Amino acid sequence: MSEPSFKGVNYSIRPSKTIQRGLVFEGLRALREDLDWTKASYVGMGSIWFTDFVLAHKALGLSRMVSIEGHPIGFRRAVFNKPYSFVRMKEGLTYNVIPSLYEDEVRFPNNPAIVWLDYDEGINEAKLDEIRYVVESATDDSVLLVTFNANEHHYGIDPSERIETVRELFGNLVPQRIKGSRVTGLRLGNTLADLTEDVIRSRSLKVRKPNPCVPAFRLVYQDSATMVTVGAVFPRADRHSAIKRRVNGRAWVGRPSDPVIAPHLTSKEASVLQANLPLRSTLTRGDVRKLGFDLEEEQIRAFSNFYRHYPTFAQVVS
Amino acid sequence: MEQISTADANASRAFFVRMLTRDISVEDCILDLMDNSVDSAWKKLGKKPLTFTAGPDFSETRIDLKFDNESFCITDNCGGMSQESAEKHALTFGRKDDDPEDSGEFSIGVYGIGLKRAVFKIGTQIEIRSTYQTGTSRKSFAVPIDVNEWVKDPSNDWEFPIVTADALKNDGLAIEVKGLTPLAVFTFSDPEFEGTLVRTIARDYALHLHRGLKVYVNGERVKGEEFKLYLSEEFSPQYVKWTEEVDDKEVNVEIVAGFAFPPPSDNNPSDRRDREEKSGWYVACNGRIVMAADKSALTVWGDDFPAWHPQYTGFLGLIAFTSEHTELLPLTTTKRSVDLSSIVYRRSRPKMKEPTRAWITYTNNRKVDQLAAEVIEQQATRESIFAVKPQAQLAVPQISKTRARETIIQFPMAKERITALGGAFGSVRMSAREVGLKAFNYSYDELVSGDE
Repeated sequence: MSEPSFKGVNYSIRPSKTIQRGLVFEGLRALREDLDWTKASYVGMGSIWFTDFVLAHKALGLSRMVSIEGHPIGFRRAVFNKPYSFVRMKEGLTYNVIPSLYEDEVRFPNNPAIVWLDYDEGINEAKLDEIRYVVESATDDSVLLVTFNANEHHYGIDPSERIETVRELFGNLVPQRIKGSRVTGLRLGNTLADLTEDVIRSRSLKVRKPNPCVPAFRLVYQDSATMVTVGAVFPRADRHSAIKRRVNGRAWVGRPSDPVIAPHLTSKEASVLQANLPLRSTLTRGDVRKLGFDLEEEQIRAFSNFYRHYPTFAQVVS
Repeated sequence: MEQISTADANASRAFFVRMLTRDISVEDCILDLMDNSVDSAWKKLGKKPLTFTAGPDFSETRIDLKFDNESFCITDNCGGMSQESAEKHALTFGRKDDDPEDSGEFSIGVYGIGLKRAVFKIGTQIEIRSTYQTGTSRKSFAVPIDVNEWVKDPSNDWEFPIVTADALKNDGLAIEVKGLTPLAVFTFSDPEFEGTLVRTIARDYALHLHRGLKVYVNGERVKGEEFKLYLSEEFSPQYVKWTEEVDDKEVNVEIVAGFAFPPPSDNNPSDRRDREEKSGWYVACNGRIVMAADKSALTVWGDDFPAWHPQYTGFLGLIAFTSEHTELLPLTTTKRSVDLSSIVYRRSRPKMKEPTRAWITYTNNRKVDQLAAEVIEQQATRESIFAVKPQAQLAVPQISKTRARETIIQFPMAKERITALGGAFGSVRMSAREVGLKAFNYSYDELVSGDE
């Protein structure tokens, strides 16, 4: 029997991705207090929706922005849909555009940049090269974020194939013995998150020796696909301890311990739940039933953890 | 002439420490400490020679390595060093003239420069603790070294204190280092270091690990490199052994050679770089691999012989020299390369070229019908070098041309598209060549066949 439709996924609405984005920007807003972003740029892959660009401008006040789009039709649509005049569109693959920003431009490499490589596909050698490039080129007070797909089939048809792929990609970062369960399902996301973080840390140690990066973001989230976001801050040397303190503090939201798997709720359910969330205790299944409907335990927990970033959607039918 | 002054020829201690630790990596220092432990264990086991097919039983021997960005520790149960040894040999600088000759002992480590160099390289607060058997009793001592204080001491006697200590759990050594040097902090903080060290140990001590040696790095047991070679009716690895004599002294030599991976299917050198990295010649001296995966003139490649080419990827040759006369082994002072001037090594190199030549010829020959070659190669199973049977030559099949006139189709294509199409055909790990072939046959079946 296939999944009941109330558990199914509407591709155009991705609540977990929205929550993830909310957590990342909440983290960036906090980091802004310790770093100097007066001349910082935001570099991303806005597509035609530019959701993160709007957030970057509203929440962080950034007005130097670069969006990268490789598809020719997508590019023209993106230019048309730019939310602000100061968003610079660059046509091409990140593999080429990112180095050109650092090597061919004058102002860009001299100021911090928040670079979010937001890929739809799985991680591969080319993307790891890009990550290493940004780590090597990052100016003080920059942030690097990487998002990629952690679905099994991108890495092999069975655990032993996936282990081979992981070994090829991450080399000596992978232990001699690794169980098949670590490259299966949601755990594959965790494994890839840890290894990608290690790549960033290892490269940053080698190139920024006395002042390596501070790993700050690590989120595994799932709508239809399992996705991973990892990120690090490259603070100026005298800001290193302040950043470390912030990221390791209890209030830091950038490294949730559980994967973000948001339940799909109707707006009525979401509003009612939100209005009844207790301040100090946790919402139980019994509470939800008393409110008139029902949810699974993990769904209740996910909502309670992330309700502040929960998307509210209205479907416009015209 | 009148003497007007004196030039102080005594090197300062600080200068000495700097010079001593200059040209060696933290990783090689750790391997030096391991050599010492393994050597001690070997002595305890009667110093029997360690070859591909025979050797002492190391299963009771255990070495633990633990490190983080604040401390380093190596512990073993290899019998420890005696107080007399510490007083007179192990913790002096270089060996004193009255040291006994190293005859009758198959060793690779030397309690000479290695121990001091290693601990000075890693940190400044050092403690070397030993528990050992002497006659009927069990004794212990420790040698604490505070390098910062020690370098300030102006006395001409370069001594370390030996103090009483509690016994260790097992008879052996425990070396603990704190106050890490900046380089050690940097090395141990790198997420890649632990994996690199584990793999180096797995490879360099493969023969010992096969004989049961237990090595733990930060709690994880190291699995020895297995060196498996392909075996079938058509392919058999070479395994030969002989004895070289130099001035009435004997050195036993063994060669095992074959292929560990199938030859590359594409002309893409970037594919399976890891396999190419593992291919080449390995040289072992008294059981420890001192040179790994060599593709240079240090072994056979280049000079009057073909230079390495990625086409030869898959070839694995191992040559092991065993002797109680360590001075005859082709070891360099770093123990990480081969001494080209060694007589025994010079005599053995022509023999290394034989199986290499057989492999080169095969990889050229198989181009005649690569598909047929792959079928034969895929029928072979992989067997450990430790179970290899004597065989005078590397056996390879002769591929002959049986198929219709063929032309190579070759064109560049974005890697991501190849991966995606491979996934559609059944596996994202399919080689570019396989994907191309499947794409051709798929299109052919769709558009052409039915007309035949």
